[in-house]
Amino acid sequence: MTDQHEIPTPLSAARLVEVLRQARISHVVIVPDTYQETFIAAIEAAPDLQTVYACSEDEAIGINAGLYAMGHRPLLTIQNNGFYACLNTIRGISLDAGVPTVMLIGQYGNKAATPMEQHPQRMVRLLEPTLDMWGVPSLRLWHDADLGKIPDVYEQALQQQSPWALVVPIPTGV
Amino acid sequence: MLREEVIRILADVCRKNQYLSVATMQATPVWHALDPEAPLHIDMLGCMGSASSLGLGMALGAPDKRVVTVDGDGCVTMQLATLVTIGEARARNYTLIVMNNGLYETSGNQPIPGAATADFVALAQASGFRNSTRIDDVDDLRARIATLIEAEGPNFIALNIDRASACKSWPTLSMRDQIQAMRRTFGGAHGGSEQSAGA
Repeated sequence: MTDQHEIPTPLSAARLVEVLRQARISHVVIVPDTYQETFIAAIEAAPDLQTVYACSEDEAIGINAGLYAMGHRPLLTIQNNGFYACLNTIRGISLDAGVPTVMLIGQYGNKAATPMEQHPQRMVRLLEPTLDMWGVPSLRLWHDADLGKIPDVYEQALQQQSPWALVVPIPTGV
Repeated sequence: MLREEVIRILADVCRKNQYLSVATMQATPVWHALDPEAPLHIDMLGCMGSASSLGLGMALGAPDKRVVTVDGDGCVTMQLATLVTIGEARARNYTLIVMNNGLYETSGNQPIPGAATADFVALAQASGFRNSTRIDDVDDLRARIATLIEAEGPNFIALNIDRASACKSWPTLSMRDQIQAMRRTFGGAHGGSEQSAGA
């Protein structure tokens, strides 16, 4: 992981979409996240990436599994609060049934200058420890330079048949 | 209607027509007794409420195939918003069938919330399903099921079944193996898909 005191910079939504193309992502399953607003808008403007909106993160993980079973390469966009809400589904589908589940998770409530480990809000502070405890590997997307790691992360999720979390620390930029 | 006779009809119509299917909870033991290998089938076990979303993903990912999910009413109430998600997705090839007896059979036949008050057919209709119907007669089910599944979806079918004891033995096929087998079968068959070394 990146140094905990390093200050993140807004990720380029356009660059993130381009990286998803490089990773040959077929579908983005979305439960809207405030911190990924510009990214979601960019995805909606990309005709080659299909979007599926779900009412809840539980459903998003089920939809992801169905798309994967049919040979596709889906990816999820959710929020930290939603991650906590769907832990049993991650346990049942992503971990026990080994469905690759790559999740962009917005750290809603986080502030750039505050180390996440010391954040006063549990929804921010507990995300990475919870991921670690559940055996879900994670990658901090601190800067645009980190986005280039996403294609390799996706391949690892496929190889390992496991979930992966891509942590979006602050609101995405344009 | 008895659960066993209903599942027998559903498994039979899925097998004969090569529909992709998902079943959960008490539907799974009977399904596998009839079709032990079930190569076009996935069991959603240990994650109550997720079968309908799994089936929706399959339907969206394979628009040239008919996909049928056999769910329970207790499962549907656990993730009720999935009706809205399915209705919005407008998957024309998707049918959600709900075994409706108002009971959590697996945990000992406790009543589900809304057993006497919720109307699943109306909920599905209001959520955007193209067709939503209820069947409470086994001959009617046998006569209409293929036509209902072949209709332009999303389709919702509530099957009123009798109270029954819970099956205590579960299918031995693992969901992981079923999903991987399905991906090997269909990987590359649909736009934007592929078969990677690890998939």
